[in-house]
Amino acid sequence: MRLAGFGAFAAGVTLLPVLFPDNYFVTVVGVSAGLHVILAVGLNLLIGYAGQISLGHAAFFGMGAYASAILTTRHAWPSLLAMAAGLLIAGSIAWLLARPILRLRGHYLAMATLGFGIIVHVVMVQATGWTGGPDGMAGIPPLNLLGWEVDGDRRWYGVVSAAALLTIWLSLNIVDSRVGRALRAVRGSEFAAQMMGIDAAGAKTQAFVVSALFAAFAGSLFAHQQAFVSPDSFSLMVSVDLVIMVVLGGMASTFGAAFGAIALTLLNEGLVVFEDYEMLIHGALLMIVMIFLPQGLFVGLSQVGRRLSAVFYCQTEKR
Amino acid sequence: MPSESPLLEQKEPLLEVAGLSSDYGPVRAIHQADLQVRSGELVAIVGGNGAGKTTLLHTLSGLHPAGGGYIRFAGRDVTRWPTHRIVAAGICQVPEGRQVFAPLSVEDNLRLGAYRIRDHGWVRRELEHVYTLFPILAERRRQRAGTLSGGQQQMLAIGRALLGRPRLLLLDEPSMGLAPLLVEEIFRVIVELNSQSVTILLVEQNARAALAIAHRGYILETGRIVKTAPAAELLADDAVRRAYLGY
Repeated sequence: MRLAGFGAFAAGVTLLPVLFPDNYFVTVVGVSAGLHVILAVGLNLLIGYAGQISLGHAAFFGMGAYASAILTTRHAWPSLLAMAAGLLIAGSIAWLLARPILRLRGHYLAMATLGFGIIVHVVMVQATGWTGGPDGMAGIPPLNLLGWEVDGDRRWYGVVSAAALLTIWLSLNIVDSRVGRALRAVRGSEFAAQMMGIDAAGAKTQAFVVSALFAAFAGSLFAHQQAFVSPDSFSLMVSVDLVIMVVLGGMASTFGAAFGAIALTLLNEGLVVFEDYEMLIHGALLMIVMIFLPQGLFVGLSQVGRRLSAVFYCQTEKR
Repeated sequence: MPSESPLLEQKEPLLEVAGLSSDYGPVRAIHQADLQVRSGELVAIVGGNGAGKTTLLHTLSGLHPAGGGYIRFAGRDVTRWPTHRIVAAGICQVPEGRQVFAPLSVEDNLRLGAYRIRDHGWVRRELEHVYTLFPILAERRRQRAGTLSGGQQQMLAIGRALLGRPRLLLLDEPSMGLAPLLVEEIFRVIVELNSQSVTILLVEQNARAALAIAHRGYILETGRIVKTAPAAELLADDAVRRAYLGY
């Protein structure tokens, strides 16, 4: 089932550019959707499985992006090395932050992560010497994969799709492992999880670090793909959007998070034509989904599908 | 039938608690508790609502910090250990109110009990053992734990603790919220486990049922251990009968 889902997803991702070559929605919006998939799948490990909220996840996305931007332009590092450095920085900061911050629960954890996101954003804007301030940094060289330069929309589509599939595959494996079971136990009841001999604080820390690593990975790809970074891409609204993707798709489901990321990206893109009413429609649609499919689009729709097929099955049985 | 406490000649008890205190902020919940459990024993702690039974168990398993005194387990001082290390050392707990992981399957719940155990062969055998102990769990192994009845959840909670390979099994109020017939069934299993040489510390409000199966008992009143004796003596004691057995 899990493998079948992954196979179907991979096939879809591969077929799209063949069926619709040079289609704007595939090669341009698709790349953006792919990066969001990486971010949402990582954040889902934290929110959906470990049951911890983060309203500052764009900070780690930004760390990966700025690490790549600064190291490749100012210090002429090879892009893969800069990406690794970004992962190391984001992972270390997440690890240092995890113990004190994950001791908080509910609203308090939301506040603390929100604060963290704001602080990192302020650093991006204010530390002009490093980050170029509000104007951002331009001229980031293309990603260089051992001699193969990633430039052009099609190549980017390939690289980001592969990266997104890799993160989905990693997430599916983490969820199905001993660590994944521990995370779900912590989400169910931290108390009972500890009684099973699970180091609850340790498990939450792992989830936080892994989701930060996924975000920094996406950030590094983003910086190279855009060739430009500015603080706007890592604001509070981006963190909120990421949480919406996870919840919209359906929590505690890797494919749900991926689905939510793609859906929200397409929605934002599609609503551009409504100009002034964009945010209005955006908000209304979210409310409608949450009212009628509170488990999220992916989980909710697959349940509706199962129920319909059950009804259909019953009727054919009667005949 | 209660028998003589086994191995009274053991030099050191498996669990030795001395002068243990536990607090909630400025309020002392457990006062200077002394308690021993020897290998192979079935010991009951009985007391009314709010006597501090759960707090005492939580202090033993490191879920609640000790405010004073010490806990020695299998020759080691575990007083300040975090819960996951205490579980790894062999103290496994069946929590009050079951606390099964509702969205996970029965089998995933059981496997979570064996979280600390790397010996996969042992886990497989113990899983089979739990399924023979509670055949209903085998029937429902793929079902979500949240869909089980209260009694079945209690069985699952016990099975889950057994998969932690306990050297000492702590049972917190296993009769809570169960119909009398189910209570009987659960207590029968507790006796059977004890006869399979699982050492058990049972905490119960249902004093009569607990003392009927235990070797020894402790009476806990407002955070103090006020009496300890072989369970049969406690059952016959006038004061205990009036306060806890109602006749």
